[in-house]
Amino acid sequence: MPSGILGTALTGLMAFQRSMQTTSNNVANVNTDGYSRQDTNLMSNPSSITGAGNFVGNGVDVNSITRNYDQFINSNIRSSASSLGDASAFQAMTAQVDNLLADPESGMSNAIKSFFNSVNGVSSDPTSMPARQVMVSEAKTLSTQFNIVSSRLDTLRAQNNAKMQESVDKINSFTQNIADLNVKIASLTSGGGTQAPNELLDQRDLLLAQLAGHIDVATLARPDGSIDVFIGQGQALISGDARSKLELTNSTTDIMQKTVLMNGYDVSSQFSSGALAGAIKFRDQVLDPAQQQLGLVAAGIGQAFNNIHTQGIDLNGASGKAMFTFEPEQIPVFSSIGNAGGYIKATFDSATLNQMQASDYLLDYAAGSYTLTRLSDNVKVMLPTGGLPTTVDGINITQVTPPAGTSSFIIRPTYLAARNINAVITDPRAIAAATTSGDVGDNTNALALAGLENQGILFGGNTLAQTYQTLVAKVGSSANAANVSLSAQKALNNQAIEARASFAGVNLDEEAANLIKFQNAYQASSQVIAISRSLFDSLLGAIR
Amino acid sequence: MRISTAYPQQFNINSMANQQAQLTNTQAKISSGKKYLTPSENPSAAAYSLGFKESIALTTQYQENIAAANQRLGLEETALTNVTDTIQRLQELGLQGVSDSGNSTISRNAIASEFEQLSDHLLSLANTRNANGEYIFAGTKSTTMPYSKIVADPNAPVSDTPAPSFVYEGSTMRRAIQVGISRTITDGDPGHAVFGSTQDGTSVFDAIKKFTAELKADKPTLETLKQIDDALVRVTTVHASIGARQNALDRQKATNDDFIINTKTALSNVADLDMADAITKLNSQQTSLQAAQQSFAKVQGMSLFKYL
Repeated sequence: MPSGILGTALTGLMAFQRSMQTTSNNVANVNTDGYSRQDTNLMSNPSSITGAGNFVGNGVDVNSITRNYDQFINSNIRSSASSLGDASAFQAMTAQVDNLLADPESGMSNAIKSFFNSVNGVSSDPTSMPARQVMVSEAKTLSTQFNIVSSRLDTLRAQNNAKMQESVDKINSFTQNIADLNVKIASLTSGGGTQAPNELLDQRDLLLAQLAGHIDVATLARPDGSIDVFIGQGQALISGDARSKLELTNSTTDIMQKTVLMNGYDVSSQFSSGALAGAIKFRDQVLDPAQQQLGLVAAGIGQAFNNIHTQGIDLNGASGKAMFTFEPEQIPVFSSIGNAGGYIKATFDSATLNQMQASDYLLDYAAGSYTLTRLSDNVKVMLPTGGLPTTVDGINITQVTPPAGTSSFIIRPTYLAARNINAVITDPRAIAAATTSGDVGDNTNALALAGLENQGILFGGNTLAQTYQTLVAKVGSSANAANVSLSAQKALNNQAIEARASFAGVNLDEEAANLIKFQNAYQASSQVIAISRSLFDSLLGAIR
Repeated sequence: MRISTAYPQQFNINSMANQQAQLTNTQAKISSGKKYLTPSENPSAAAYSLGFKESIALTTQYQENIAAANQRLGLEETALTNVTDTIQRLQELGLQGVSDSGNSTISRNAIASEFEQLSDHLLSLANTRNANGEYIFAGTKSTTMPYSKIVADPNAPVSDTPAPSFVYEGSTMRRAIQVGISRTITDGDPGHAVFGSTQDGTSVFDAIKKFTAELKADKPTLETLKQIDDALVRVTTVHASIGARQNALDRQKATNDDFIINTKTALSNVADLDMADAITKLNSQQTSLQAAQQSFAKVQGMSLFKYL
């Protein structure tokens, strides 16, 4: 059956041409991100039955062109991308705080040291005007350095907020693109069958991996080829062609905090991984505690110094004035949005300075009574019967005007202390180096002031320097852990990428070998056509 | 195992970038001499080195305080040596005046006039000032001249026990200087402790005044001379205590020096780079980076497509 030979050879030509096309597509996409190597799957055509009852083959057909895809490998890529995004966002920011605090030039260490040196200078030479002038200047340098470090932390906060915004914007753009792809893929696969729009699927997988870098997601495939994406406990980020937009807004209770909203609901605690989670983790675990602890040192130095200084007598014979003030107020109290009025005032309690903690406090008012929560460990602090005024953890809280209804207040004794501290004495004669004698050469009070450096006046019996060192060590440990976890996550992510690359990536040698194979087969099929022609020719020649 | 063509390339680039980063890090450490560039490399070492630096700075401040105290005590000592010499001369002259043999009224008057001279000299010593212009015997009222002589009315009759004509206006408080973590030392002595109280008339000036009057009246008594002896005892006692304080300062200084050296050694162990170790590391990192670069260049050239 010459026509049979010709037809069969033609199916081979077609199939190998398609195979070579796939190979050339693989070669062309050797460096394409997210591309999965494609295979042309051939299947022999159903055979026909001859009159004698033999089955004769009818050549080959391209059954499908499939991509090398493994669900497990892809979900691994996504989860490792989330962890990596988390670790790198956290590490990048933490390293900056680490450098800021530990650097002797930019940190507080030198300023505290120089300040106490100058106090020692006055104590060993109380009549010397230059020594007094140096102390006045060093006090100003100290308060300014607190302000500077605090503003650097504020800058990092702004940077972190900007990163959160960037993540939210990217997440929104990725989800939009994925939803769009869902629509296209569903329309192309709606006919059912085994054919799939490979390139679109690759693109969607790539987008999902990029999305996962910012927020950890779970996916669920639909029968129509589209994919649903969830965050947290199953809140749908993408459902078929619809997606929910994320939004970054100021928190209602704390104007300095940012909250992630989805459809108007706070979902900040709904994701545990990805760059967005890394930024939130940095804020909650590194930046806020650092600012609190720095504030504790500032509040401690200011209060302890004022306590002693106001007991002394200056060169003019007057009682010592406060050396440091906290402007605009000692302890800021923020009313939550939606409060029913009320005015709460808080001040430092100098007698219980050593009980002050690096924490914010939440004061809730309901049905005529107050409850106070320390936010660093979420411990409810007992208030005496009768409520306010009271003194807890080194702070005095008084009610100036009672709220008309349920209200809450955030009390921040340390959070803003480093920003607000200011050295106010400018006259060197106003340094109260003497005690009650008021003698010019009396250094008793200056000696007491200098002695503050070595006294465990702060929480846990720590000195000022120790409290600062604790801060440096804490941030250092976080940064160290961040570095370790970043390199671990990088390795894991690389392993996932490598696993995908070895499964789905293009190998040029392999493609070259395939090309030779398909070329040979194509040439063989062509030879079959040539032979079938010569068969026909010889038949014609026989009857001529 | 199947590998893709693109991944190993990326992998090699990553690993070369890593090696370069390590090389740069080692190089930065060598050029700064620091063992750790950021606290995160070793948080506890960072906290320790802050603590060490703090201790060193504080103890260095104490050394400065010691130097200041030493200088002040040295000045006081010189003054007191002078005071001692003067009082000894007074005793010598006094004994001469008291002894009966061959002492005429004339020579007693001569002794009395030398007594007055020496009294003025003692007064100027009691009002000694330091380089800052502070009176060293004024206690904590260091800008007030401690002793002043109130010249009696020349027309007033000379009484047997003259009214106190010397006043001490300094303070009775001493100034303590911090010289160690829990150690303070007084850097001087108020005048009343050295020269005696003018208020109850037991000061050396009152004694001299009284003895001078006795000389002039030609009846000097051993009893009054005894008051001058008592004054000398007071001065030598203070003098001895200055010596004791100077010794204490020297010992404290040595202790502080030891502490500074030990702490600096500890700081160096924690924070300073082991140069030999770092340079060896640098060499090996350099070698492995070069190897990676060479093998990368070689492997990159391989492809079956070359032979098609």
